[in-house]
Amino acid sequence: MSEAGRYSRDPDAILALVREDSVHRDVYINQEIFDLEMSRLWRNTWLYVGHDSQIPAPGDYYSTEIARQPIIMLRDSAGQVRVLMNRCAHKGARLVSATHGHCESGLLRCPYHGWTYRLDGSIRTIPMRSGYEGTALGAAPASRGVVNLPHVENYRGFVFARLAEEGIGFRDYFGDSLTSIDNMVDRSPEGRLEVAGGVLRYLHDSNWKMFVENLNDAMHPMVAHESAAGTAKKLWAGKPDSEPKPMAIEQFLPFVNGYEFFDKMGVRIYENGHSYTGVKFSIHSKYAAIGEYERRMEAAYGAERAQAILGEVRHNTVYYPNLTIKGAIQAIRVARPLAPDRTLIESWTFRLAGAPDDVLQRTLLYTRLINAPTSVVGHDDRHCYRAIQEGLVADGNEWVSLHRDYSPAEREHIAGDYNGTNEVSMRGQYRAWARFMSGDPSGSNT
Amino acid sequence: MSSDARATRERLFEFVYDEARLIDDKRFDDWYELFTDDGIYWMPPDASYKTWDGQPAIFAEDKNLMTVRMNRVLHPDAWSQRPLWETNHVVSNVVIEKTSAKEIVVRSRFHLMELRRDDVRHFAGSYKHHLKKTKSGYAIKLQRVDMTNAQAAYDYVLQVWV
Repeated sequence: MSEAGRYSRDPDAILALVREDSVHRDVYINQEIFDLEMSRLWRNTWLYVGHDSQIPAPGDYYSTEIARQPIIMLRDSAGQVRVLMNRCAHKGARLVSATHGHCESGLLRCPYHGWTYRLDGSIRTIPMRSGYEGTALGAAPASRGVVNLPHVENYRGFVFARLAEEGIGFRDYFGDSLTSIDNMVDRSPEGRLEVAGGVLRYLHDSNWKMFVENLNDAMHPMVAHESAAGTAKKLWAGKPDSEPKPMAIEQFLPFVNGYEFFDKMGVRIYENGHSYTGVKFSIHSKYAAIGEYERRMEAAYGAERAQAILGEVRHNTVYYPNLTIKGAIQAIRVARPLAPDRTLIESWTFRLAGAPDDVLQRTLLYTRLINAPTSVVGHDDRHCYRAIQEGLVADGNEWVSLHRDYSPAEREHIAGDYNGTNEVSMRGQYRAWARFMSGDPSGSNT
Repeated sequence: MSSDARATRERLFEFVYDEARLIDDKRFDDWYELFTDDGIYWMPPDASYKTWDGQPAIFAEDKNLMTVRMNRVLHPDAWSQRPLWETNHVVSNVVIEKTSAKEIVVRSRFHLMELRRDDVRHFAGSYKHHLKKTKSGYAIKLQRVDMTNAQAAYDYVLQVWV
């Protein structure tokens, strides 16, 4: 165990935790590292806040937390999406307690002393305002109203924010990884997504990075998910190829595909920790076509473009650090770290505007099977994450191996395409992690 | 209450108690048989939901998915199910909400204590059994389970039916 404050004081101590091909266990289990992750890594990166279809009308809001900061995403009177700190300018009370709702009369009203704010955060009224005459309130931060996050980007409905005042821009941070969001949205004949119903929430009693790393870990499904997907496979064994598979079977089966499948599907790495598996094909490739949907896509985009959109079937895209999406099945999962060994996952499903209901049914089924608290697949993952959390305290080996398919060429340039079972996505994440964690707010290479 | 009505009431109460007991006894095959061929086991994430169709659900399983869950839980490589767990249901406040030739609706409250190795957890909520009369008794067309904390963040514990 390190002495208290060691990592805060010494960037070199943090850098020493990340080697080219392995990481020290403290990245998962150390409380000080966790706190620094929130203040250095999460604060300086672009974090997913929510989807703008959650707040369709002016005055609608959604409240959540990013990097332990309480925030409100709302639509202002001009229809713009804003992200405000969920904190009254006066004594600091959280302004809204519900996870979503509507600001009556276009105002946010503090439940304690009744200060009211316009949807842009500015103060509208203060009860008995005369009591502030002759005071320095006008010069105090309180007079500026509710803090607006200055760096908010609504990318095709996906709302991101950066907490730090200075730092890397949205486009520079995500680069071409945004093509995964593009593909998810383009799958709507109207080019628009809508949140379908509410959120499914579940906890992992493990570090947030185990969840994020797992999404591009292609060496685990055939082992960890044998009991779940293998059971579904057995259920279907002996049926002729000509017999149409029930959707659930179709969705379960690819989880127990062999190593060759997962290796050949490929992984694409971007700078700053982003990546996706399923460059050439994925576990979503073999779903039966939904004829009416394809017709509507072709009518909207033309046959060639429609086929190009539908031919792109990426598996999981990691928008480091808190968003993971499955564009091909219109489901996302958002990671909210609570403690070094506690992570809340929020699972949302989306409707493709203009697509027939069958497409939504497929999405909803997938979410129930895979991204729900009852998932038989997710439970295996959760069990393994917890097993790591408990196993890492064992002395005698303090290092986690990320050696698979490591090549020294990555040192120069990591972005590019690799074989799917390569652990390069995790190495890419830790490169970004080390840069931000060692104190460079721009996360730039030095 | 006529003696016929009383007997029906008895049988429906027994049915609801038995349903929970079969889960506690891990007699999943027998539990599965309680459902009609198109029967659904449904747990909405929000009490306001009126149907399982077309929106997210914590559980929404037909007999196909029930089979997958049952066989998976008992699979020798179901690592997350080692060691096996125990559950204990208490079902009470049973009310027969509707009896017609087409459908019988029985509402009840449950408390579930679940043991996983050293961890004990508690869940509470209500059941709504939509039943159909059969030659031998009753069959479940739809079982709705509303958890009191449906919007809470769950630890992954719900590997069997609640």
